[in-house]
Amino acid sequence: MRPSDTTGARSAPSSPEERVRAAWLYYAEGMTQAQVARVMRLSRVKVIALLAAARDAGLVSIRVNAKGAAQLDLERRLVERFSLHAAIVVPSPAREADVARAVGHAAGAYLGEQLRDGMSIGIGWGETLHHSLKALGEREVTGLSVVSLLGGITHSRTVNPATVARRLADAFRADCYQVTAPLVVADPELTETLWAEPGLRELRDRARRADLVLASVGDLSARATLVRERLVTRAELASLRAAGAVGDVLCRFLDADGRVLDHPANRRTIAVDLDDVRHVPRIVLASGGRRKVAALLAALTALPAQVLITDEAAAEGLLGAAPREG
Amino acid sequence: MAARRAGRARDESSRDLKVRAAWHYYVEDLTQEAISRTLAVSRPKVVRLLQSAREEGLVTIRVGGKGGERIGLERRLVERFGLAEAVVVPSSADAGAIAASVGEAAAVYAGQRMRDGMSLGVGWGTTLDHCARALGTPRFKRASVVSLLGGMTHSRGVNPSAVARRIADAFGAQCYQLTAPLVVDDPKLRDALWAEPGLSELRRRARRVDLALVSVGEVSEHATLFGEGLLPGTALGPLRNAGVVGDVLCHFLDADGREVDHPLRRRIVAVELDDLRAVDRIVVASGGQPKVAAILAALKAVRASALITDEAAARGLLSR
Repeated sequence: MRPSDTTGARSAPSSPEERVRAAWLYYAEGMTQAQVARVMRLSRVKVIALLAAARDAGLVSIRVNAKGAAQLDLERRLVERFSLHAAIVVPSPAREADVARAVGHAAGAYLGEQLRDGMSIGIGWGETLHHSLKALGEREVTGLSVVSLLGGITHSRTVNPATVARRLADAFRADCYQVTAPLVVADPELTETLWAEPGLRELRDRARRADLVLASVGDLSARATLVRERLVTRAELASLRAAGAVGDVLCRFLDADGRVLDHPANRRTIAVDLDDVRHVPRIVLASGGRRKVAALLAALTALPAQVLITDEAAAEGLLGAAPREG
Repeated sequence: MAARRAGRARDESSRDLKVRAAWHYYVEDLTQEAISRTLAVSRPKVVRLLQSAREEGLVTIRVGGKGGERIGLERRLVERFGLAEAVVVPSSADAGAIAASVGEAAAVYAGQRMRDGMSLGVGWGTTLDHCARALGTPRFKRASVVSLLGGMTHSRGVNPSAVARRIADAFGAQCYQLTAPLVVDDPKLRDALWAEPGLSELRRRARRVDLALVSVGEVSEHATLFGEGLLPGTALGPLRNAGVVGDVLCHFLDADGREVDHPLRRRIVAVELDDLRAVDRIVVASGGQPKVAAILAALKAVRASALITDEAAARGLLSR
């Protein structure tokens, strides 16, 4: 290897060909990173960067086809307790920070399998759904449409609702319908005016007619996406907690009984109403981690979800909580 | 948390541990070192867990996307051989790795095109065996798979009936088997078998499949036909002298894709090439430089709609 290769490799942009090849050698042929580096005549650092880029670009499709006994047991009990059509429980990650990635992976794999020609998908946002996009797998589906269920944010640090819908649509060359409005407005009256717009009314009708809705839930911790994106201020967070809020689904803040709170924060958000998607034949909730248990419990009451995708820790928490009324 | 996980490592079955290790490694991108701490097992044990998770198919990994170079090869193959599609996967120095890669690509291809109610005819060989193992989860109610070749009473796993069975299972499809030996001693027995109502029905079914997935064999001791001991190595010389460069469904072809009238021909119980030609969409999946002549012959023998191969074979085919 020429000395310049190592230094040059770090800064040089990687070609798609390189990314595919590195991913192929590492994942498909099972080489170690060091072996890939040797075969490709690159530094190990560069190989790591290539592999990360390949993953982010969705070039690598990983499927864990088997489930452990603990997962299966939790899934069966969740289906029974919450009258679900299906539950998917992934092993709890070693690091709490990876929960969204792991649950998102399962959600993406599930969504990928469910896609059929001509289907209409309503989609929420958040870190979990952001990660789900990488795990959709390669499917050939035509005539798909994707409906974003929430307004957008002009500047986002991590995940934008509009981006989640857009990227899902791009992956399948689907039509994408966006809520062309801010997710949060200062003036509550503006929400009424915006929903009266023909374009947005039509989007809302589309959301009602979706075949499948995929949403995640948020908790009210400082780590929730809404808080990190500064869409909810610390003062509002305190006020929501005081009002009994435990979390949100599609940016509707819920109390522990799954009721949408009568709170100013709920009047400033531009998102499709929970009542709009209530009759969608397949509602899928995907969220995990112990800190989301209360929010998940509320969301399962607020929406007639058929499918829950979560991790072991949240599943155990949900099953340990009081049974859902009714 | 750590204590509970350590408990899990002791309590859980080794299969459960493999699943857990696979999630940590492939989904969460944890290092093997971190997994050994999390699961409270040794580092070599983590390596073994991950390796068997892959070997047993508990985790499958597909690498999609295309390098520009391979896209170029695919386009040229389509043009040169009048295909609807070509898929070229990266080459490897190891023939086994090529068969695995081509087989996995065939699985992706078949998985994308298979629809409920469709019927799939399948050949055999190492490549298709890899394909069968790489297919996803069952999802069809009314699909069917038809084995295009007879079976073997004893084999190490690359049995045509096993390949068809695995593919059928992977799709959740019905499986139609050619319940006869692949190679018989007496040519008269072969004719008598085809006269059986069940087998002639299967042959009619084979002509009507929506998609046929076959691979080709070269004339060498490494080809499945000889490697599995179905035909003796001593047959290689006479076959080569007769101009044979490879086989499709165990029918021997010369370089121009014509079936060679070798005595062995009348001892093979497999759906005929004319039957295969009746199929609308034929997918040929084979790779590796040694198979170039055989693939070329196969493409001349039947009108394939798709070719799935590796870079080395693609270059070889295009240089002819």
